Amino acid sequence: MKNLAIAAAVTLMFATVAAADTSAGTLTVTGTVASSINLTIESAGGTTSGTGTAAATSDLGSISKYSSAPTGFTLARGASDWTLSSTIGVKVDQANLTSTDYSLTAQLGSAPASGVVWKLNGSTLSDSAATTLTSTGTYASTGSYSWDVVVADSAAAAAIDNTINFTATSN
Amino acid sequence: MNMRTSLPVGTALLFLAALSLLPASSILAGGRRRAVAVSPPSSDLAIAFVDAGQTADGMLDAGTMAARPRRGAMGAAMTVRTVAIRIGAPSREARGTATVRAFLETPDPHCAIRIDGIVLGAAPRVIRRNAPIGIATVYRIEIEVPLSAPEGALAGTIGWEVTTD
Repeated sequence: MKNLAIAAAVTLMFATVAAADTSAGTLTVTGTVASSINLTIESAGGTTSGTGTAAATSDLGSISKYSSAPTGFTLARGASDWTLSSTIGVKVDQANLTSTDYSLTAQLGSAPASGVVWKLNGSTLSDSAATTLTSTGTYASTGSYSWDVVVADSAAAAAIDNTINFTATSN
Repeated sequence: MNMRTSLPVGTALLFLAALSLLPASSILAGGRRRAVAVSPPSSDLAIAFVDAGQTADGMLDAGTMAARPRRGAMGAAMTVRTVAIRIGAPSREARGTATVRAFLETPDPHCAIRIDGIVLGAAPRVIRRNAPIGIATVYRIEIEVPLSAPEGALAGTIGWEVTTD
């Protein structure tokens, strides 16, 4: 009889353990993945801030034909003009994209000061049309582009401030 | 003269053991919501998504997701949503507690889903213990798309399970 009582107790315990109740539901998740590319200025001559972002600023300070070149530039004096030379590093990253390369163009933000010419990769920039720097840019790799500012001896002593707008387009 | 007294004790124990298995096996075989005296009725555990702002009828739209530029690199696209889930009928006070588990019932190979930081997979994982029954609980759902995933539509289903504690 004692054994029967123990067995009954075990039986009740088992039934209690098995009493957990369960329920289920579902949540459907939807969304759309959009491809994207991102351009950053990695380097430039002058005292540069904002590298690694899409909006860098390079300060050349006060420049003249017969003084020393600004940081990161070389200075070449010609018969009737002088040229400051440096490079600009541009990187383009991509995400969720099947494209293998990109095209890069540059355009001045405003008309250059009289007697001043801006060049990238040897091509003269203007504010009216974009100049193609490459049609086969490699993603995630910093491309280096030669940057020249040619100042005529006849140019007025004034600020030469300008903006170079880069545009990358996936191929 | 008396069969009860002549029944061997061992046989009686076997009989009782067999009886005890009957309710247990019916619970296990049914899988879900078998009513037992000590458990709440099955409707008391129904899962309801009550956050109408971001989920409706068990649907969560992550919207358009794009990779985010970070300094020096691109970061994976990620969307964060919160959902409020109520177990059972609403009540002012908890009518017990339950363990909440979740898993990817229909996975999308192009994204990872985390709930409260727990990465979901094919097997149910415990998301919360002691979740109150009758009171909505908020969960943070993160949907992350790696840079290598192709653009296009995402679709997956999160399976939820609640079990009374």
